[in-house]
Amino acid sequence: MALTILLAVGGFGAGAFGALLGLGGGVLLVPMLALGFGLPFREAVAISLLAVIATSSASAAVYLQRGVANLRLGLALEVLTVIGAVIGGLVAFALDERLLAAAFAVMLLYVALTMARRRPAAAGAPASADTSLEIAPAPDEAVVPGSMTASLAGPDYQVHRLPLGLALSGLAGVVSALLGVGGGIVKVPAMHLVMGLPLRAATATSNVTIGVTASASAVLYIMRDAVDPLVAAPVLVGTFIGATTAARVAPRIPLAAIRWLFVVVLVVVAIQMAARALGGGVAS
Amino acid sequence: MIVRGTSASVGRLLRVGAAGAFGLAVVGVVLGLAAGIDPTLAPSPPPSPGDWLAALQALDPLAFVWAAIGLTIALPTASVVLAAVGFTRAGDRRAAATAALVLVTLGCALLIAIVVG
Repeated sequence: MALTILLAVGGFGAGAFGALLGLGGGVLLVPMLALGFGLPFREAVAISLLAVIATSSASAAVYLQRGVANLRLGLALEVLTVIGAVIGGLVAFALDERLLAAAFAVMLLYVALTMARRRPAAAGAPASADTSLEIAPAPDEAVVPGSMTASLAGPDYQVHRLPLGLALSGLAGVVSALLGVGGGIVKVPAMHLVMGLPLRAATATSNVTIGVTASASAVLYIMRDAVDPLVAAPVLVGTFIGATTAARVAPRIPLAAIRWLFVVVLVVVAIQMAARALGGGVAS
Repeated sequence: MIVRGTSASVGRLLRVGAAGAFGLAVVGVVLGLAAGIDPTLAPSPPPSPGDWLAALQALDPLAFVWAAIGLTIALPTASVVLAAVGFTRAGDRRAAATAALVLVTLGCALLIAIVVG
């Protein structure tokens, strides 16, 4: 009974955290299940994947119905993420994982620094606009009406640098497959810092797509009997509640808090990757 | 803001599906607790499709939990299928083609993983 409740509470935390940041919660759940509950690493990853899908479904339901998530953009990016994941999976054994982890750690720290240096929104500015957190579009990059880029625009923002955003989504798939981190940790900064989406729209759109990627991996884990249903069930219950709750209260959480939480996560994952590059550490 | 159209339809599907999966998982957990099943037991494979209905009728906790897991995993793909259908009906060929492309890449990825892995 106590173990079941603890697993549900862990799922609640991962679901709430993942729904707020568009990361799925695996960063929290895998170490918690592997180190805290002593599950084999593969089982922890398998249950984490189920929790990511639950987080994605529960939060995306809210974000899509409220018009915060950008379904068209999410699907466009997802094509490249899946292709990147396949490429990453195929070349995983041909590359030096430590070198990759080191490079990824440096990249995450750079992204964390960039996000941390963004100035807060000006007083009186509408919260939904979040304009101070967007990068200025390149002066020569006018969005052509009727173009692919124009069709991916949100209700109060344009999408910029689509080719670069697509390339980074492919990179998100590659690093996801190579290093076992969720694609959201690359896609949210890419959408926010490169493509100019407001942070709330970036995290919401990431939540729509991470479940799609995770579902393909989860099927493989089930086929290999790596899912323990008795552990997964309470985690799923907690995750559904946490993700739904977080998605509903997200508009009331200050944007600065979400941004700083994301920066902290980036730094923590960067440290994990650096430890991995040096030959130790726990993958997430 | 409440949006209508394909995004809202996909949102509704996810909300209903997530609620269903949540309900099945809760029933499985409650039945498991009532039966005194230890969550640290060895993993149990899902029941064969032919036995599933009988297992649910017999209030087997694992049948409910596996049904919740199955529904959870099916939801994202179902949402992309619904998006493809919705965009097609709305005459948005570009978005419909993108959704279809996601399904194709997912299918290919799964196939490659099964063959290579």
